[in-house]
Amino acid sequence: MDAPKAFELRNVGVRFDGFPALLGLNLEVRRGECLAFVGPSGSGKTSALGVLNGMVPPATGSVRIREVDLSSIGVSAIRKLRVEIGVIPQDLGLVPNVRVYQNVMAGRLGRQSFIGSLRRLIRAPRRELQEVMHFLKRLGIENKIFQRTDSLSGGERQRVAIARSLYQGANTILADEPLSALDPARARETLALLVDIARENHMTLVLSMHDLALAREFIPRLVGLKNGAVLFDRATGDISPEEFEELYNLESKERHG
Amino acid sequence: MGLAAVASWFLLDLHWSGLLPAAEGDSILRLFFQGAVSPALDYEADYVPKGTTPFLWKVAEAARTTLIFAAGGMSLALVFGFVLGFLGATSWWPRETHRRSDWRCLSCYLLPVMYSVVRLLIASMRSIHELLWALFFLAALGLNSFAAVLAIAIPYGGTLAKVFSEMLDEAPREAAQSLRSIGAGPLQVFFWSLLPQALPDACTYTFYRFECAVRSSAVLGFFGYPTFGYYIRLSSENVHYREVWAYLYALFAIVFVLEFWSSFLRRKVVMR
Amino acid sequence: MTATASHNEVGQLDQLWRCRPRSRLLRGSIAALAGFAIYAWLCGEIEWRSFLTARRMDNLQRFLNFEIVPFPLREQGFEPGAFWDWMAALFFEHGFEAVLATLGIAVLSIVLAATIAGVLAPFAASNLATDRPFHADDKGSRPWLALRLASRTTMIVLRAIPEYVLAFLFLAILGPDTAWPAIAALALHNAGILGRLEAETIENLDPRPLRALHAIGASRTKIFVAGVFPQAMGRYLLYFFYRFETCVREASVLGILGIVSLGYWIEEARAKHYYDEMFFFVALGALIVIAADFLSAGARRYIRRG
Repeated sequence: MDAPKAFELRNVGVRFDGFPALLGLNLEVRRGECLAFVGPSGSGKTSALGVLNGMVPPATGSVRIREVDLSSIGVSAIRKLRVEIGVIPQDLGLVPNVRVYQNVMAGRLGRQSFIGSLRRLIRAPRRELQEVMHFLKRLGIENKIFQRTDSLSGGERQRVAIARSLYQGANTILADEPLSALDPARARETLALLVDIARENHMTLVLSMHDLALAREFIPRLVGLKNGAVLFDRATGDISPEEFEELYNLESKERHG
Repeated sequence: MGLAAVASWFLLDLHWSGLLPAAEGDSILRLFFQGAVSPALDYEADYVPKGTTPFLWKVAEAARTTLIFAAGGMSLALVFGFVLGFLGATSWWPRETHRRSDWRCLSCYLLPVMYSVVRLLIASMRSIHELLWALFFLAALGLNSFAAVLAIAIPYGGTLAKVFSEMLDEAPREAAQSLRSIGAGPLQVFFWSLLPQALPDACTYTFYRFECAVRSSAVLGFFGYPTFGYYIRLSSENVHYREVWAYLYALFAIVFVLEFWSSFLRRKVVMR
Repeated sequence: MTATASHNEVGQLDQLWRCRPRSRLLRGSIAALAGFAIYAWLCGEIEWRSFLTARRMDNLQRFLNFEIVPFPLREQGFEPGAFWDWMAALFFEHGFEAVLATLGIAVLSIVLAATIAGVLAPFAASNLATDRPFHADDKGSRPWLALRLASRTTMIVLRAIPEYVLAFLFLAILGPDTAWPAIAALALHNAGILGRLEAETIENLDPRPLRALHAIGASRTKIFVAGVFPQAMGRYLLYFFYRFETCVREASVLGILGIVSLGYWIEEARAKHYYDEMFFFVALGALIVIAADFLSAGARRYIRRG
């Protein structure tokens, strides 16, 4: 793999109120790569994703996004980096009582001036609406463009969140447990869609998941996290069944007693 | 509370007999209830000069000015409430976790100071009753209807600001956080996620306060502004209780309409 | 080919926009209110154009520079001793007593209001005042409906009259010798408000345990005492303290009518054009309102927690 690096983490540790969430994470992600953090809940997957766009400050170690060291730049420069990184949080982070196109258009806020964004909130330009329409069509929910977001089903809302990242023009998508609210059939469909879209647009895709079967089917590289430490980080085909078993065995419970 | 109530009873030297009508109260009470069942449709006075506006027209006029003062006060209060409510809320503040020690980071120093100042301002606006504001303006500026509108707008603005800021801070933060994480600034976060989320509740509350503003505006008439209070006082001083009741019924009608309207809106729009 | 495709897309966008869900009612209401607000400002009834005339500015200047300055400080400038003496004199002569009276009126009227509301509210709750309490979609027979309507109307009427007007009318009937006009006015007005809030609380209760009580043969009164009252008590108290704060505010103002609370001294000072004293009493009133605000906020937080 010769593609330049999208992310580079060196010995990153994260603490929440003194409680360690990540212990010395080392990670390199190439541009256009697709990988998933897997592991039981509380293993540090969400923290790892948060570190990748600078929302979670590391207590130790260094974070480099596209060859830029986060500790060397200021607040506004970090914000500029975030504009290029689409985020799909576990709760999707959509505003429930506005229309779908407004949630999608919010993706570009980081690129707009305050006044410009205010104008768009009051009246969306036609050209941009057509763009929104285009992405929604790709996701198969173009008929919902002017509906209220909270009138949509869970799967449809998931697509709205994906559309927001597409509209954002991001080169990377970070998705935290994107399947957790979906039934098995929908989950499979949505994951396939997400992976396809990332590939079509040459995006880097980093997910966190707990469903190992789906992860092994669709994601080429898996990073196993347990109690904040990396258990394995390899191409999916090279990971042994014993390693997967260790990821989910109950040792952690015994330790917390 | 119970102890306080008993203490207050003795402090104020109350007796149940105080609830009985005073010396001439008997006859007034009778007139009062007569008025309730047969409100005036015309002047009660024996002699009405020619060319006086008809009584019902006067009632309508009082209703109009009452509503105008309330609407003027409320619209101004809404401006105060929106601006101060925004400045008194913390949920839109940037959550820059990196480089907290950066001295250029305005949000670390300026925002908390501004927040305390605004909170103090809100508390002082709220803690003085609209009638006392009205008295102040009367003393400082003389009788001016804009002063009456201001007297409503200041305490109502403070109350709206307090409630709006609480609504903004209690609105779910997920959407705001996700917009922040893709590079949106604090003001964009406010207008694109926090404001829309708080808007339905804020609208219903504003509607409710408008109903209160109508009552306040009616009372301001007691200080000489041409709202219900003014006419109620005049008629009552002339012991024309049937006229008083006509004004009261008009006030009821307005409050009823507003109340039904707002509860209808609440059912249709917010609770769905 | 692509041109027609994009043309179709535009048409689809327009079509979807046209059939978007929207609430005409809400839009209409907002437009009506906004329109009325604009009318209110433009119709000339609010004299904002002539608000700050030269004469008014003079008045204001005199008011701020001279009249509102505490009396002993007007001549010789700020002198802490004289200022404290002046404040202490005002406070111990009238202020202290007036504050106590104000608080007393507020406490008594909120307790009375809660009692009246406690009696009215159960009859106004649509899930309690029916033939079969706490069964869904039971609208109740005629007598229950009438009872509900009656208690609701009473409460609406009570809260529709401003407490100031009520007190004014009671003053004429009861005479100015006692604090009863203020207490009665505040109690009735707040009973209307508390009653509605309490009725809504009862209506929002979880019906299942109450339905179970009914199923095992408890009478309506027993359900109320054993089921509704304990469940609703927390919220009752919440509203009670919320209204107590407003009662303090109103109790001080009702004095303007001649009942001996803070407002009485405010009005007295105003009538004598002693604006410095007036300011002192207003500030005193603001202080006790802020104190009551703290007290009620603290009490409400305590209730919410446990």
